[in-house]
Amino acid sequence: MNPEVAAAVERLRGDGVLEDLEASLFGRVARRELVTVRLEIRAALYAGVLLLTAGVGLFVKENHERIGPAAIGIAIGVGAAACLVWAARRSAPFAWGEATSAHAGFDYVLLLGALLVATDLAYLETQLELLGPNWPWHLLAIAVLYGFLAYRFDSKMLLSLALASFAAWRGIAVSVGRTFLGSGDPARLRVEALACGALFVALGVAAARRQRKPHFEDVYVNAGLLLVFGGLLSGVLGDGRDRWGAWLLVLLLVVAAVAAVGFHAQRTLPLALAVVAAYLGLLRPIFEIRGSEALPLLLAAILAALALLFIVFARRRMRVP
Amino acid sequence: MKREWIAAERVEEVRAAAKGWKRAGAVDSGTFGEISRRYPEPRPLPAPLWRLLTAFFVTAGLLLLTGALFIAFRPEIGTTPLLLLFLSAMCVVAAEVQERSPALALRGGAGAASFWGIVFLLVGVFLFLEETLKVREESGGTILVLASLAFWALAAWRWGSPGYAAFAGISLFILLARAPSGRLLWITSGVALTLVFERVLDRPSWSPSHGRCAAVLVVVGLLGVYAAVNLYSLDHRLVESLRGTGLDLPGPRFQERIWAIVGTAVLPVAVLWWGARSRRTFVLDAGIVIAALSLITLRHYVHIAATWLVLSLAGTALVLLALALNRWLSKGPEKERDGFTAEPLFADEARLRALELAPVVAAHAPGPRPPVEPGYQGGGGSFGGGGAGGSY
Repeated sequence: MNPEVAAAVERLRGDGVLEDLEASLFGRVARRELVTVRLEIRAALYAGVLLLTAGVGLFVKENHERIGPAAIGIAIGVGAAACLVWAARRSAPFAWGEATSAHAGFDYVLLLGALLVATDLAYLETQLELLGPNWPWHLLAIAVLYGFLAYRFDSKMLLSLALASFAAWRGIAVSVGRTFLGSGDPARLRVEALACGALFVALGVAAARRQRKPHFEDVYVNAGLLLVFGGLLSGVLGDGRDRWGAWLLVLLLVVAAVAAVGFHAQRTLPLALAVVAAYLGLLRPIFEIRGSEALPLLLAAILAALALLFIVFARRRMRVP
Repeated sequence: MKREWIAAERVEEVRAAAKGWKRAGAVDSGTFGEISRRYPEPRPLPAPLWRLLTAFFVTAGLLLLTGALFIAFRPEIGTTPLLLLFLSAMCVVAAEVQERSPALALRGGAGAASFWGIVFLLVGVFLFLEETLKVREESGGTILVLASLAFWALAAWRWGSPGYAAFAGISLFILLARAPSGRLLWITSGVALTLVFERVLDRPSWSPSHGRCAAVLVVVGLLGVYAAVNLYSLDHRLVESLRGTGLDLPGPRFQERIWAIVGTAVLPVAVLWWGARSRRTFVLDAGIVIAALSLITLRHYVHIAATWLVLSLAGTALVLLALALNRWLSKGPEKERDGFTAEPLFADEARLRALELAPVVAAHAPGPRPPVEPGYQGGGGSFGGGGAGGSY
């Protein structure tokens, strides 16, 4: 129960600010007479998707020699089709604007269907070798599939996976794991990250300008900025040929541009990414200082304080919550 | 907690509720404006991202400054606790100053400063016990955990952070584990913690943040009881192992195992029943978690099927159960049944959906294609031994 809200609702009803019907509903929620379990339903669906895809993956791995590719491919395909048909029946009609389904489970059943299709494609590719030595192109096929489903069913979740799959096709690891951008030639990966990032940002801007799913803009732009800053920071922190200075200069120029646009457009996340990227990049020259062990740490602390002041200043000027 | 902070929290609760009503379209702009006028913003409340950024840079600044001080002055091991105590005091003072200023409170800086203040204090206590007083490991560990309990509890009371309440609860259970009948103490204390703090959850005299701390302690109590009765925990002496290493721990008796089996099976049902009856979703969530742990425990002891089958069936069952529950609730009168609904009510669905993106991408994004290695390509049999030709 939320005693403050319950008391406020009664007060507002008595003063005529809230109508009886409104106050009745708000009061019920505040007194815990009406409770939503939507979050629990979504969490259960997510856990179910995780377990099911893990189980399917293990099944394929342990049984593909006994059962045969055709049977496995068909079984997974039937499961995927069932999920996608269910989603299609409950989705809103296609529109270039927002057309999200109100069903609590829609996102995750759609996700399950998409993941099963991707699993099926990957499995059939490994068994039938349709693409031969060009097998990584199936990642592009998956990216296109996810993208199509994202647009048809208005799913930011699938759009994020589409962008991640596209980046994977270019060899870039999305998570910050063992290697910064992925395994392979760091210089090539940096270029790929920058190119992918720029492409995603451009797609986001185009989506907003042309009003083609404009609400997808933040997914495109944020994913793009992560890749761009990741690529530039990889150059600043990881370049072993003393070219880190040039990378730092480019990073700061990009940071300034992104911060200016984010400030002007009142977009918090791009501004935050820019500030963090600039801070991490500037740590390189600080820690290049020789002769004193404490001085770099002190300078890095001062830099953190300056970043903090900038954040306070930016928030006040942007007048955003 | 100061009266002004409590008063500010109460107003913020009403404002947050009103924002939810407006977001859901349940009230119009005029009504929302009137509510905002009657409950004016007591202190600016930045969005979570700003608070996270602030906490990040305050943390970075504090840790780097601490490192610089230690490297510059290279204090003796005996004076290190004093330095840490000084740093802790500075952090606590900084947290207090920020909390007292409406312009600086709730920005993430106060939280970061208070957190590191407690951490520095605990590290200082540890070094003081270990290096200065040369206290024996077991006694020193007990004193440290006692100090941890006291400091986090004080911090939770002063600043109202549910995280600090959780740390205090965990410290309590670690302390109890060090006693001879640790497992029994976990059960009794867990029950006591749950019952005591459940009673104050709806008390108007408690501030909203203290109410959230109480809710956290109810969950900690439930989890503590479950960890004590779980069969796997009993068989592997997980509670007893917290007393330290090198202890000769006898195996559980048969009667204890029977009780553990019953507890592992019954406790999740009891908690879920309590959560459904009281309509407390956090109790329901705790019940779901311990039910999942019980099923995992069952799987550990009873191998009735291959892992892939268990995972697939469990996943399918979860998906179908969630969809069935959603359908059942949606088909009820006014889309609710017995006070439960699958409608979002006034929650910020857009923000929840945005938060879901990161774990989904992290879990399901495909791995990158492997790099293509240029260079050597074998010529196979055309480079054979003496007399071998390039072709036949």
